[in-house]
Amino acid sequence: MTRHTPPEAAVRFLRWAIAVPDTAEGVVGDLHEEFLQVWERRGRRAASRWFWIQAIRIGCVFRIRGRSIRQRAPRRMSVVTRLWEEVGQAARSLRRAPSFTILALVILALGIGSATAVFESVRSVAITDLPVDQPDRLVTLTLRDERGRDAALVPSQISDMARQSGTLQSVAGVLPRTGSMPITEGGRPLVLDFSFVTSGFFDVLGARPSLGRLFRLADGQEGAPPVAVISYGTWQRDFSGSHDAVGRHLQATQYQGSYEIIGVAPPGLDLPVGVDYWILPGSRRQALEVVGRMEPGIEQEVARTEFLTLAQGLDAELAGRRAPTNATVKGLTEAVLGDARPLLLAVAMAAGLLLLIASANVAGLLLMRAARRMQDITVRRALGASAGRIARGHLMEAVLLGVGGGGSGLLLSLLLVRVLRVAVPGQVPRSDLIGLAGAPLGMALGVTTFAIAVVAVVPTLAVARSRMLPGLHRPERWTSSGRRVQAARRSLVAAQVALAVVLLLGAGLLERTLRHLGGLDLGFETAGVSVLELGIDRRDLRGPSELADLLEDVMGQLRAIPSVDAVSPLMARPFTADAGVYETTPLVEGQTEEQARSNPSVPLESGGVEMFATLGIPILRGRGFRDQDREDAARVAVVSEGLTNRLWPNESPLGKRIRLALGREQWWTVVGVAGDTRFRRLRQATPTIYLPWRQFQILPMAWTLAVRADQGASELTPVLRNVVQETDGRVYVWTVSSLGARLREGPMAAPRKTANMLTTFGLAALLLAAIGLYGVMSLAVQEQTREIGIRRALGASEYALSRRVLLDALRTVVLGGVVGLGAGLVASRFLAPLLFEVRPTDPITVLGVSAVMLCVTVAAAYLPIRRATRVDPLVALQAE
Amino acid sequence: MERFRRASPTAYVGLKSSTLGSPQRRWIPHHLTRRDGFVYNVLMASKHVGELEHMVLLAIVRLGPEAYGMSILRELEDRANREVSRGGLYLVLERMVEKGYLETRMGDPSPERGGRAKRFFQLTDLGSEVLRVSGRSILAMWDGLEPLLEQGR
Repeated sequence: MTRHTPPEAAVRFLRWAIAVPDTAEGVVGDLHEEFLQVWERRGRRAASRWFWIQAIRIGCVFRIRGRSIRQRAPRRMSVVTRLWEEVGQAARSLRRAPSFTILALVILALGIGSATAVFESVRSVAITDLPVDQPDRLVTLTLRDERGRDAALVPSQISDMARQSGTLQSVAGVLPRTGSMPITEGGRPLVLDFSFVTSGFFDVLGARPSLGRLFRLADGQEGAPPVAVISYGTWQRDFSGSHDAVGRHLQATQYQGSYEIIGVAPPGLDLPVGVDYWILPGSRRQALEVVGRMEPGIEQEVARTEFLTLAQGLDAELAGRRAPTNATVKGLTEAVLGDARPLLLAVAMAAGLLLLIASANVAGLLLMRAARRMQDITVRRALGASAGRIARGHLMEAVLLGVGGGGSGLLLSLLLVRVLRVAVPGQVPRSDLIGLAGAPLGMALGVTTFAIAVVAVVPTLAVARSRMLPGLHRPERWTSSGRRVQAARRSLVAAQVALAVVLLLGAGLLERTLRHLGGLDLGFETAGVSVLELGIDRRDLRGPSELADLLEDVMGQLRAIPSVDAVSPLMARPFTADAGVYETTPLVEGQTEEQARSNPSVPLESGGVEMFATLGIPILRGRGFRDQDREDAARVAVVSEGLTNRLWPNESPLGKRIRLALGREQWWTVVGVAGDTRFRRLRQATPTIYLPWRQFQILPMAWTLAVRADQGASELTPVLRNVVQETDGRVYVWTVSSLGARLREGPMAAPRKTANMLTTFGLAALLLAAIGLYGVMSLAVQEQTREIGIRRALGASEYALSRRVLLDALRTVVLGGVVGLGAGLVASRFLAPLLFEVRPTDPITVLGVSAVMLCVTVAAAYLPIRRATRVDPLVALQAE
Repeated sequence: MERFRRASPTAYVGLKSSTLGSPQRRWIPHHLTRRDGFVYNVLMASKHVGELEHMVLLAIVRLGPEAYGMSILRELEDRANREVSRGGLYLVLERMVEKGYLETRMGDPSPERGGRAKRFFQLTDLGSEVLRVSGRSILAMWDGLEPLLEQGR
């Protein structure tokens, strides 16, 4: 009988008409009483009709004649005031549970903060446009010969191309990879990477300078003074963003070169990736790649075909390359961002997952809180509070938590952005844009809104759906609403487990990759070897022989240092496959030119007498270099084993002769076979030809020396500097680093940093999942106290009880784990470019992650298990 | 001198005499003592209560602590044979509360009323005085005319 309620609309009308709350309550209550009696007598319809009639009559009386009474009615609070009151209520309610509130806030701040920082960084790097005009009209064009190698153009050819091309509005040349040479600025040495560009480069791009000006066509003419444009990142880092950077000079002590800095490029112009400053080509035979702006309406494919045709009409020999047979076209944005996309995607996904996990965790905490307050909620509903009002209260709490978490998350993200800018792998282009845009308010707002949506929805639904029960239910008993809450909570934990598994899977794959890379037999030793780069002031040196003598001098002095065992010059820094590295296709004696075309293209290394000893490369057959191998002696070469097997499959190569590069006349005699190395590329062992440096004198811009010593690079540096300084004032030490450091910072950097990031995220996700699991388990144990007590009383052993709880926990974890493994194995495909000898579906990693999850489950369930086994049956049974 | 305050439910009226005459209007200065929550005040008691109000007051007295909207209505129907519109009744009750004749008290909420409380009414001292005055007036008028009640009309 108490379930019959009078028509809501009529009640609301009455309450509005009467206005004074107490009066209204009395009147409506009286009517309600009689309403029930009328229902008894005459049925529902009649009662409703009766109620409406009474309501209207009374309402009219009060409205028409009751003006004075209405003056006592409390003034209707504006929406804002009411909202503010609800906010205050929610805040007070949260303040009463400080540990819950703080935990929820911390979790949310972590998730929101990291997501905001990462998304904002990815957005600035990958989504904002390049600082050029109409970036979609810009393309890079690459030529390849029939072997697939680059067939580039020289600047004059690029000018010809510009005149002849009908599809390209304007054309410029750029060196697609960066090189470096020793420079000083105002006396201090700088380590910067440069790229050659033709003078029209910035005009083609339509870029505007941050400071000063960019290259003009006049800068490329004969007799124009050498100028340089520095990148935004360099300006901030090495020039402190000061406005007097323009006008300073970069001294390249190799030549008389002194480049005046004329301007700073706009931020985010990272073409080629990693460039620090642009200069004009020093040689008319500099091979360059082409950047062009397409005519309006032209498609990329059309531009490509025309480009190829034109290029084939040019004199290929000019660049020292073969005739091009193929051309590829790529949008400029794609060219800058292309390689980094998988990495960026992986990092963004990891941050998004962490946000999801954090929000889900807090949602779960809120659910638990609502479950604990179920009794309170039921009482309130019995007293007539609508489900809507109660749900609104919980919603307000969730929103408040979200806002609080969002605010602290924003602050955290400011810190994280700064960390990201420093810790980002070098492969990430345009990293000078990270953190440039100031506080990521918009992103934080978006992320917080998403988090609030996740956090608020589930608990509010759960609360709103709770049914009123005839009596107040006891917290120990399972009720339908309690069970539903539990199920929701468990699925949340399972989701968190799944997400943690995905992240850890990725981290595990990368860790194995790192292990493999680190365990590679490089073919040479890294321990005890330092790489030394020297700069030389060549101004009053005449010719190669003086340079050679100077180098011998320096090396002799270095060798004299007690802790130094061996010294050898190198052709270029290790682990760089590009600038300064020469490749050639050898011709074996007895082959025709035609046959020789099928020989592999092999990098050349030149070194001193002690080269193989310094680097620890084994000589398998024959000998290494001797002192006699000089300019005036017969030309000798040492080849690597892989090349031997290729060129002389079943015979000993010793004594055989080869020619380097088609068209060269010199014959070189093979005198030794060395082991294969991974000196240039870490991920594959390349066959190599070693030549004595005195016979193969390509004068590099800097001298690179390998030094084997008892001391490490940092201790050695000052000694080396002193010695070099004293030997000859024209030579100075540019950089010193250990070979191991070069390995870590070079090819290992990308997988390492990505692995670090994924591991951090994965562990955080794991921690959150563990917290969630612990919460669920402890609640379950609490609610089942009676049942556990009974079991105990009936003689169940501690072991049996523990096992029950553990299996319960495992059920949730296994469900989540299976889903996570499935999703993770699919998602790991994104990591494939970074992996090395590890399949994306690597079973060992899967096993490892599963083992970790099991351990965490046991750890998380440990306390609840203990609580379960400690249950005193008497106490449990009495707790009613 | 401050103006007098309107009568409120807790007002107490001190009448100079309880004779059957209209009490005199008095302006009581504020500096008189307040004792036991009583405030001396002036009553606009030259008006008697209307007929319905009179009846309602009587009903409330008779119902004692159980006097609320429904019960008052019923009492009037049963005892005085008087059908009152609900709206009118509630309005009258509110007016009397405003004038200070009645005070209210909220009871316990109950499920039969959908979780709402009952609103009980009770006479204040002022209300009692007013009732007494009106009652005496009526009775004085009826004095000697009781036989009229017996005759049919």
